[in-house]
Amino acid sequence: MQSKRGFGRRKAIAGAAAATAGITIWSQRLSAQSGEIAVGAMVPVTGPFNVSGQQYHFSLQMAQDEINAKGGVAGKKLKIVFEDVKDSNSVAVNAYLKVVRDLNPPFVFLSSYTTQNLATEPEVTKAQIPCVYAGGGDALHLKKNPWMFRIRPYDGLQALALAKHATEGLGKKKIGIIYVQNDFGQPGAISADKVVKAAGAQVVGMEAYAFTDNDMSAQLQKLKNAGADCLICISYGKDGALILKLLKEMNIDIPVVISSGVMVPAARNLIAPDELARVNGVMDAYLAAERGPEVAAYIKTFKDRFKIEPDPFGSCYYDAAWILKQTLDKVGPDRTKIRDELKAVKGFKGVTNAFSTDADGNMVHSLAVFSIKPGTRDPVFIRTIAS
Amino acid sequence: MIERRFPRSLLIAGAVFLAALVLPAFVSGYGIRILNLALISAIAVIGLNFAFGYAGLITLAQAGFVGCGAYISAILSTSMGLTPWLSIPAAVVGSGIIAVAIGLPMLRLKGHYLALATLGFNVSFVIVATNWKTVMGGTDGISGIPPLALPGWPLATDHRYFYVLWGALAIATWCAWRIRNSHIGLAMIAVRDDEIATGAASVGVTRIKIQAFALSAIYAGLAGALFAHMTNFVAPDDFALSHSVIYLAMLIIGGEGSILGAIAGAIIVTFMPELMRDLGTAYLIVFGALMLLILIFLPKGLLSLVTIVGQRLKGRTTHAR
Amino acid sequence: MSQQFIQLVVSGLAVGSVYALVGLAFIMVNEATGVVNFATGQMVTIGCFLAVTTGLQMNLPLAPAYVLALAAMALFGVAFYAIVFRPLQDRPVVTVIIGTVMIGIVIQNAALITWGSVPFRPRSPFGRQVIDVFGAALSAHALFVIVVSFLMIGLLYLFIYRTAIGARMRAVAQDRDAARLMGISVDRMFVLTWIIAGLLTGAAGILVGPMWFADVNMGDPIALKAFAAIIIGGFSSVPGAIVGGVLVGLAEMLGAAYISSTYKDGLVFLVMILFLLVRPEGIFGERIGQRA
Repeated sequence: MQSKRGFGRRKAIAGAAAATAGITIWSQRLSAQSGEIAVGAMVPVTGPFNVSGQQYHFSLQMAQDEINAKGGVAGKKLKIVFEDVKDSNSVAVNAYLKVVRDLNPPFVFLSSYTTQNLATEPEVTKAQIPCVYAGGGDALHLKKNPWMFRIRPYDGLQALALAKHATEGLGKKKIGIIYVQNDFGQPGAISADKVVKAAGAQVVGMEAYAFTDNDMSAQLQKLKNAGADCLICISYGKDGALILKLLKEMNIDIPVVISSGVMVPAARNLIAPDELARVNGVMDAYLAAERGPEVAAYIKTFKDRFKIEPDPFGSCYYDAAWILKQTLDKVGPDRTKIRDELKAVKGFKGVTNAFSTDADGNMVHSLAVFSIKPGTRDPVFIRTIAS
Repeated sequence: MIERRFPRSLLIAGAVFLAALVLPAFVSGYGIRILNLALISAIAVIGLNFAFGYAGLITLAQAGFVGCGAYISAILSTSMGLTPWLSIPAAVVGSGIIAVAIGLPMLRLKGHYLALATLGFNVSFVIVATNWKTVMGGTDGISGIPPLALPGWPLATDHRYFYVLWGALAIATWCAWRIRNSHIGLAMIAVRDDEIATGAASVGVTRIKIQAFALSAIYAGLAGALFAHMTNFVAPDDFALSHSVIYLAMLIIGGEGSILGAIAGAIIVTFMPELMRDLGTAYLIVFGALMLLILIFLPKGLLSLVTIVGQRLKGRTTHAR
Repeated sequence: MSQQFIQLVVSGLAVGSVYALVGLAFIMVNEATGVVNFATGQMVTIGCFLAVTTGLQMNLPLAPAYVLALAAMALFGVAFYAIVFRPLQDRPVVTVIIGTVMIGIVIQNAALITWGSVPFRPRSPFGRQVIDVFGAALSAHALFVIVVSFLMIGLLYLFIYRTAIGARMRAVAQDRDAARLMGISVDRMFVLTWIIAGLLTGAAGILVGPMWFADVNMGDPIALKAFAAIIIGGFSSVPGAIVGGVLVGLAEMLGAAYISSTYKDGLVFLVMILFLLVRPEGIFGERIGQRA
């Protein structure tokens, strides 16, 4: 009996000890030195989202170094503290709280994934720290959170561009829509449907597939049989590439207007040039040297330093960092003043886009449409579509 | 492995609970959130201990039931405008009812068939939550969930919410202890230890299994509802199958069949990622390998390590004498 | 209409034969060793990426590339036996379930670090050739997948039921202790079982690569469908794996075409749960061991 009594106590003590050890170990991990202004950045550094996360991570590192080389922010050095948000909502919220509570920053760069940002949104409201984010989901700006600003085109705008280009741009009348069944694809398909109908064309079918699906031939077959003369495809990279591959295999030879996920180099490399022949795609921005010396310099420096091409998804954070510099130089690290400055951004020219804040906190209002140069995987700029 | 009636260990557990009251004063702003998450997991794992630890039902549905609780409370308190003080109990009852409904047919299955059936339930829960946009919000989830509040005193900060969770965990533990030592608890253990022997009245066996399953879902529902009102946002992601596995791992690592083991396992596994943050990408590799090592070398959980060390120490002092 | 139907049936068969291969890997391991291997999906991932390494990164011709990848998967099976199965073999079912889930997490993240999260598109031995079948355009690779899968399953069937080693494996599956008394080296049969599991999942990975691309997260969705397949077909039977796999593949395709593309996955899992409740032994409810 004696030993068993002890057992209960030791159990309890061990549990408490483990808990307190856990708590003390990571306290005081993040800190800002005097003479610098530290801001947080929520980046998927590891896990399945790390490809886009890497772009975002690199572009912020580059911005930080360039800003500091040009005298920093408000006379101090800019320090961007990166926290890993992996691929989970709860990890993203925890990472945000870690940065906010340990670092107490005047500004935060949020993740580029909408659900993570939706999960973090209540904490942003509590913390009252201005932030920018790149997730496109309309659900977020519909919250009209005064502290949150989006630095890339929202999904509704993308759907509008896809639908406008298919109808007005390509002159197609019988549109089939295929979309990924989630917060990105579903609302996108619904708004594309509206725009197509408003343009006087017909939607002959709308088909969904699951994010983890590998074979969408049933859906494509149905759209073909429904008589579609053009497909609007709202997808990410790999699934979009699979759809284009299947269309070629199934001999469905109609033009495809596809969302931006497929247009990044990592996804385009999965697709053979002949599978891309009839593809038009939208991208957040026309990020090419022809656009001007600043853009050319950005692309070159990025490539020299990180050995990969910059993509528009990550590069918008580079622009956001410069908007932040301009803001901090003007008002200093005061949260409310930073927020008010961000609300008033108008016509800021970045490497990706022009930034002007609207009532919903959206700063970008246009995106670019591309075709593919025959026999290659290289995009050719066609036009810009604005809201 | 299974606690007997030890008033003294209960007393000490009570003392630890009381000592925990001052914990928030020593914990940084971020740590308190992790601590809160650990307490929520602990409630879910104590529940799981009824089904798995006592009745021996292998269930991979605990995260699904946590999700049921979270969504029920979220829906009731947002679109129905109910106060969380009512929506949380409703979530608890609702999760229990769902468990009975699916338990009636499912609990005839045994071993890995039951594991697969419950896995199917968890996967289906996520599919429904992801696609039933009008009610469950799809992948956008449900936001704007109100925090708990006392009149004139909102419990919105993590430090205040800690006390809510602390109280909930204390009550949950106390109830679990009482149930464990009641005839219901003893019957559950009897079912596990010898299903054939008690199977003489086979209707009774099924009823006891359903009771255990429903209890585990009730605890899960409470955990889920408390989670929803802390994060103010729920999405399918947090209730995926992988979380069910984690709950089971918490129980096994703490020590199955033991309430304190369940709590300890929940706390340890919740804090593990924080301690291994610096490992970056390699973190999950180390985490998985560590879990595997514990399973191989400490089959009765980490708390058995304490006993082993304790016995060693005791052995040494005896020798010294 | 009929052209659409053929298209869907062949696509469904190709998808289903992959599920059958993976399902068979589950069944082999479960029957012989009593372990439900939750890391099976990750083994498919590894098989697929080993072929990426040999076929794309080392740029070997496809025949030696596949042989090398399969040989590595056989070794992987042995390693799995030694590191995971042996230490856990006499533990309760749930410990083994959690153990295999944990090793799955380890494998998946090791793959992520090794090959990165950018998907690859492995080459097919048939390039991107398309064959016309009764007016339906089908990729040669999809037909190849069907043929190779059924060939492998047939060979495995012959191996289990027509060879002396197969008889010994069945004896171990039926009654481990009796087999030991008969002088059969149970451990050696276990190693063999894990090698077969490695080869089956490896083949599945190699076959799906050119069709679905190689992606480090590909394992779990495939394994989940394979699970559904063997529950429907029968958790302990070779024909069950085939029938279950094909049924799930067809249900996915035809369900998406004729019922609802939104709820087709839910449909598969609904059928799975119905089977679990009404007929948990599946369509073919026999044990391999009892078919001696």
